[in-house]
Amino acid sequence: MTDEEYQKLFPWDEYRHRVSKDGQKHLHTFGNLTIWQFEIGARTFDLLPRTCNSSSTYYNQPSGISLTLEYPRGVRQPYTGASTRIPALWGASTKESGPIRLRDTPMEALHAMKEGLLETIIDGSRAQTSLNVLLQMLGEK
Amino acid sequence: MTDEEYQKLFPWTAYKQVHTRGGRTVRAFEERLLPTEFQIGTARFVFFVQSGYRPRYKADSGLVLSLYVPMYKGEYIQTPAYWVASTNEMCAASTRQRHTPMQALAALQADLLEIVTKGQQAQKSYDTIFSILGGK
Repeated sequence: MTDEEYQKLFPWDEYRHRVSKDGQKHLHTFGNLTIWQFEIGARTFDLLPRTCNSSSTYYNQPSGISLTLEYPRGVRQPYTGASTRIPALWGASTKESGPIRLRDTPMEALHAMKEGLLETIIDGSRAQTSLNVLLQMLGEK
Repeated sequence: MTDEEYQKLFPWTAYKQVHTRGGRTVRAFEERLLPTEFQIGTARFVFFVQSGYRPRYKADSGLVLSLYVPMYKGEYIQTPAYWVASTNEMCAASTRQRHTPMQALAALQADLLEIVTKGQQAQKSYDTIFSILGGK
């Protein structure tokens, strides 16, 4: 996805163009988020107060689903202190579980999270079968 | 649990005194005294494979009990040996080391319950994401 395509989908997600110290490279520096909340599928995601020195911006939904805008580690620009990302990546996670899978858009991150949850559900179902066998074996069921 | 207590509970996992190359006296695991099968509850565990110095016993249901014997300077020693239980599908389901097969099975039970609970929580989140995405 190009910067332009990303900007079209998420116009509130702003980029600034900067010139590097040597005056040659044009860097895309992620700007300040101006949006406090947004909606996906009639669900509102609210901006959480940003943690000091955090390289992520968090949006929470009352159901427990979180969307995180991730800044890359180790690519902060020495002359501005700002993070560079072309484009920023989104991660989705839940209250209880897991690994944040980074994707280009919030929707893609939610889809990736859905797949991750499905894996956990399948593991749980298999574990239930083994647990039943074990309990039966130990004479507890 | 002392060696003596362990030996009393599991007389078939005997130890012998050996001298290491460095002249140190250690207690080594006696392989030839391993049983080919044993019974716990309603299940019979049968010896099926040995990888390194780790004999594994398997029940028909797929439950596995492994006996771990760590090495010391190239020689196998353990005071006492420890047991780990796992399942067919989840070979790493339980890595909790226990003194006895029964304790290993109890640890496996706790691990399985944890995975089941995670699955149930994931189901709730899955339903929520499913509805956010409009059933896609």
